[in-house]
Amino acid sequence: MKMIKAIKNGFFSGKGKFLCAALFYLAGAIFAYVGLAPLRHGLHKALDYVNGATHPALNGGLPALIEISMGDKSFWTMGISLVGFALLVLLPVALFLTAGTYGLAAEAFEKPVRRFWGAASSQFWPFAALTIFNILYWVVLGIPAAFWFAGSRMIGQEHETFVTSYRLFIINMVVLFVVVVLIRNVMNFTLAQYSVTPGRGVGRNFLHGLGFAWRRFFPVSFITVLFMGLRWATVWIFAVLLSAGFSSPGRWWLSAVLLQIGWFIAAFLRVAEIRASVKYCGAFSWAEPPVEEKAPASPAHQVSVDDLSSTSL
Amino acid sequence: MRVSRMLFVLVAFASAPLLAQQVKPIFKTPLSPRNANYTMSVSLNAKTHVISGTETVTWKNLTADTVPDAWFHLYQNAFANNRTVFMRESGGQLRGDHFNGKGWGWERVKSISQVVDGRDVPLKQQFPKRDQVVMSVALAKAVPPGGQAVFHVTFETKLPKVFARSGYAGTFNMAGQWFPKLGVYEQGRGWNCHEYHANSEFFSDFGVYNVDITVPENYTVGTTGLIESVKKNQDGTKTLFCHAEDVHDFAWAADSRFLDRSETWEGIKIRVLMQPGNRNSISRYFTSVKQALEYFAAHIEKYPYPQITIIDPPEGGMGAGGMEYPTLITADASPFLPKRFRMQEMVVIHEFGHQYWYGMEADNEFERAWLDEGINSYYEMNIMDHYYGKYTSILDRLFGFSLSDMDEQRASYSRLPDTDPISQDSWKYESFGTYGGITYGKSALVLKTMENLIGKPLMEKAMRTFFQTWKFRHPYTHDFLDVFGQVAGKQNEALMRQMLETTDTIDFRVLAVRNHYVGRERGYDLTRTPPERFSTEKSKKAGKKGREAKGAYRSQVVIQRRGALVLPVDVKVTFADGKSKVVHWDGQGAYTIFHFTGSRVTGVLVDPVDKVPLELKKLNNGWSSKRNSLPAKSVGTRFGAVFQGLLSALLNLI
Repeated sequence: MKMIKAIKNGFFSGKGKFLCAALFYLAGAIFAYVGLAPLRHGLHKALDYVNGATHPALNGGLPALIEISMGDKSFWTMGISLVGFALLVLLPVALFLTAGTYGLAAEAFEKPVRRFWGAASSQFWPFAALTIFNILYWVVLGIPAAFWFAGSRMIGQEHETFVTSYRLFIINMVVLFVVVVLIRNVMNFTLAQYSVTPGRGVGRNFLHGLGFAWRRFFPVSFITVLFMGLRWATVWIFAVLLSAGFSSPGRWWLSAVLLQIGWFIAAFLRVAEIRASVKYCGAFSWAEPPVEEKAPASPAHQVSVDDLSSTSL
Repeated sequence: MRVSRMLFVLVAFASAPLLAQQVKPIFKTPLSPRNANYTMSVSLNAKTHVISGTETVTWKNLTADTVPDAWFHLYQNAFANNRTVFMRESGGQLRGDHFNGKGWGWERVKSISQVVDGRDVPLKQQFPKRDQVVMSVALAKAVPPGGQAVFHVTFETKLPKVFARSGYAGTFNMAGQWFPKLGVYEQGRGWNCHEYHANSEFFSDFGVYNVDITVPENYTVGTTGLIESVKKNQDGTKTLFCHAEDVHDFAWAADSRFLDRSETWEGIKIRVLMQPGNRNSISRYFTSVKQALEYFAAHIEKYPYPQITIIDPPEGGMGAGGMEYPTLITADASPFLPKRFRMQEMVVIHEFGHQYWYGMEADNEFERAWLDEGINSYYEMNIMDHYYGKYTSILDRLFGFSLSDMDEQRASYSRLPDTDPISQDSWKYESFGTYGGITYGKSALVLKTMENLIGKPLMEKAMRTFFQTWKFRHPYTHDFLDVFGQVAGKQNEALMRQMLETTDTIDFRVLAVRNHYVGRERGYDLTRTPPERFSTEKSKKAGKKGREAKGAYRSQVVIQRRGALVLPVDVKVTFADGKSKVVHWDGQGAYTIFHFTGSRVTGVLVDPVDKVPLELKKLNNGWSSKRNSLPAKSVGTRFGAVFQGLLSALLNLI
């Protein structure tokens, strides 16, 4: 029930979700634009004055690239020279936006914009530390996975009578999926844990988040898989099915618009996932209330779920 | 031990012809000379992947030479160690498949004898080449012109781990080039029996094959020709009796996991032996084979054999995929291959095409591989275009991107377009990439260019005549050129010869476009008597529009031809008033200048309908006075979308 409520909350409640989605979307769009600027420049240089639009053989896109590559061997090197840079710079930006989105999801605030920037700046370094912890967790998880994949390759090569390569491929895909879910579970819920109880310290929060993701494995995995599936479905619909029909030069803008809508929906789904994770995590935070100093003279005080929800939800 | 083995051999050799006599002939009249006939009795050890058995080879000497020896291919010895010609040339990898360094294969002739006056005379094996892939024997009795020799051979073949066309992968066994096979005796040249090279395929004579194959009972077997009968044995095996006529090789595949499916097309049985995991791709096999059957029936002639078998190799045996044998082909499927990516169709259509260009027109693949691979790639291109669209035949708007078969051929050819000629020994190419790019890609583009030059009907007539003249024989390049010259004319033959036998290339480009504004008429009008000054009023009235008026511009369009190949080409010229004109250049000279008077030239496009796909660079064929950013935006947008998706994934990851 809590899980359903959290998912519903992720989609429909709270202020600033569209702001967050817009920022996520814009970050991707801007960096894609910057990263591919040399490639676009190269394409324009090669195609703008060669009557390419009237040449049927160049319309498919790939043939044009083949022709450009034939004429200019450095086209690809120059064209993607900024891609690595864009990816590198995007990392801290992604961290910043993620911190803001988690912060906004964790606490109701009258001014969501101010809250977003506040959380983004205050939680940036803790989130960076948590990401490093998470990478260590990936390594721990990745070692047995790597052994599995290497072993399965050997099995595939040497003992095909026992397990066929095809079956191994399917099994490998399942293993990969499980590994991705395990990683995503912990990533989402360690960050969510910190957002719900930021004062507890990064290391302790990471352990709590890790424990939470494993203790409540099934609902947590359900949230992860649901949003992952929705995002992939969105990408498939917009990037593959819809854009395929509009690949002619005259309709490039339609293709572009459809793809942008697709990426915006994907960004919104990511924000919804963050909100759902935080809400779900927050719903259990009463189990470990913040330690308070004892005041000898005061009467006994109990923390109720209502109290917590009024402050942290 | 020796006695029992001898007894087995005698029984085997004696019983095989008896079985052969019971077979109902496939063809009432032989289609081929049938001068290399094989009767074999073999069994597969499914655990060790060793095929052992006997063969009786009956060879007729069709030449005017008296032949004192016989040369055999023992192809599987190419995989015996890392010192063989094949392994040294290939570096242990072929078509992206790597040899794992463990699953070696070999082929051993245990005994060979010639039947002379009704008795077996043992022959001594010799290995005249660099490795033991070629075996020769001095005959006990030379074969006179029109005479014949009969050989009894006992042999054993250990299949390698699938790597280059044949071998095993788990329970899958692909027996291709698996038995001691005669080379081809050529009059005046002797035995044409090359080593197994990395960049070459095979060459052999036509004949009748009667083959008994014993395999475990749970195995499904697909073979060249027809499986006439199956007999279950008491030891858990079964024996299949197979029969093929007018073929020059015999291949078979066996696997316990095959799904066996069949359909027919105009009386021809299409049998697909499918890996269970690929079952959702079976219909793609049937559809593409039917398309190829239909196209060849309409453009060359109907497939004469009663059956075509398609083998689908398993995931670990993809090195056996995409290969042709008479009436049997291996393909390449995957359950994850999107329908808009037509690699599976392309492979099936290509391999089926080899039934004509290799199967029936049996050229020497060692020395003139273009005659099968090149011509077949041309037909593959035509069939793919015909059924799947000229610009979308390989990739049909997948992720917004399209690719045609011709684009693919151009991409492979363009890497090293002028290193080697098309008509050349396969092992002499600069690299495997060049061999592929030239033998497959350039040949296909040469034929397509010629088709555009002389017209499709004449080209079809030339190809059909070549096929009908040389089917069930062994043509060389000069045979093709002779037929081509007879049908298409000597001038086109000379051009074809240049394209096939030299490394000459061609590239057109727009060298310059010059628009000269002539301006209003000044000076004296000599059409008047006496000459009068031109009226300034008349010119002023024309005003700004007058700049585009008739006679206002004198334009020059300079088209350059680079490379030694001379081909005619059309040039489309567009003018500022919206009109366009197509002019023709015969290609003679290094460049030509077209002159125009009137509206200024705003666009030029050399070869506007892609008549010269052989041309090296297409992007320098066009010029436009106005910027048109749509093509770049169209391509850039799709790349942008993909990259944005990658960044989105990164944003989502944290």
